Amino acid sequence: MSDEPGKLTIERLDKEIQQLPALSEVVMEVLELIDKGNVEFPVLMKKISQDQALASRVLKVANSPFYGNACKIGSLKGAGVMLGIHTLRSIVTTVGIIGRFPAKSGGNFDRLKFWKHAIGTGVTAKVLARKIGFDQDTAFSAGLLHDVGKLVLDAHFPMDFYRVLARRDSEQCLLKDAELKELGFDHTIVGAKAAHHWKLPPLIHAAIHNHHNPEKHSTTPIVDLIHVADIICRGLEIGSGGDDLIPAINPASLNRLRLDWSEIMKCLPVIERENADANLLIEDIELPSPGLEEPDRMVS
Amino acid sequence: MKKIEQIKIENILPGMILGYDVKDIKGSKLMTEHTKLTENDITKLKRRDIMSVHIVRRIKLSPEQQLAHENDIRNRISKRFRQHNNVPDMEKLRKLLIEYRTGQCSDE
Repeated sequence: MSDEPGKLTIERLDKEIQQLPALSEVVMEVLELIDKGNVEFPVLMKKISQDQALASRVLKVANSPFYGNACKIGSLKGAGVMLGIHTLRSIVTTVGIIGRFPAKSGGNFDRLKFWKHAIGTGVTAKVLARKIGFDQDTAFSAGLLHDVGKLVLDAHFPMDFYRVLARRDSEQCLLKDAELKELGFDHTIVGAKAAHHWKLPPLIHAAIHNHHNPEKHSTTPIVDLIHVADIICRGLEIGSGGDDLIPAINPASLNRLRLDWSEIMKCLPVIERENADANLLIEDIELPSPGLEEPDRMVS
Repeated sequence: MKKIEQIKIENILPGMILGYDVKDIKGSKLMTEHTKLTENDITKLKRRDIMSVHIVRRIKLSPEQQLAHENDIRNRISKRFRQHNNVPDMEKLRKLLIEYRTGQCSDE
């Protein structure tokens, strides 16, 4: 990679990633409180309520069909009791990160399509996790955040990312290959550094870092889950992570997850249905008028 | 053939058909999929603060159009796999996705 002044290098990335804005003071404090363990609900809920936008979003998500509660959760305290600390942590993390990188349509990198792909991958990972008996909240969060490095590049290194997108277009290649050729590293490295900066849990960090190369971290199912979920989601044409290609699936991932093609086939309609419920995470943004929605989604 | 679109509630019109169940914030079902919406239904959804719903758009296709549509899906999916010609696992995945997506088209 060139040492051209101003060009993004791994050294500059290391330095500038430290300047990334925190998720929000309240989000970080809430996550720290939860991670300390033995956190008392009243203290936790008081902290969340200090950020009105976060509090209302947490309540909205907690009440959504996606979490499938039979009765209305009217308070943050109720959300904590009904959902449990683990799910609450997942909601706070996702709400915090989506709030940091709001969806916007258009441009060379379409964040609306990006978030649709991210949510689709999260839902796919959740459905597969249910199948293999892995924690569904962790799978959803990891899927949602697996490509967060692309957002960091788009938001904080726009000129460098512009060159990446131009190379993607000229070579008609995967975004990660364009990143490697243009920057010398890809979004998994950027995302892993951002995840470390934001103190995201180790499993989420591992999924962000290794989802294109699951062999590097095959000791936990989460990396294999996100690797497979990303590919299935691309195949179902749910949103777009920034290119229209499908990376090679690692057969060892399927073996480790003990999943075969017939089981994956059975999961596809479940994924599409649950994805419809999960889209509320980006429901505040503009939806198109009838007839202008993206690719054909035919359903039975 | 039918196609499902997520539509903001202010753009919903009587006669549109729900693609998925609509649930309220309690998680309980407000309306079931396949419901043909009336003016009253839409008012009810608005009162319940439903922001968007999934609507079915039915498209009548001739056999030729149906075939062309299925070919379009095949081509679109195959294009996504263009880096993996003759890789066995990718070929299995490509066929599975095509079977699933074209199966949806002919399901009516």
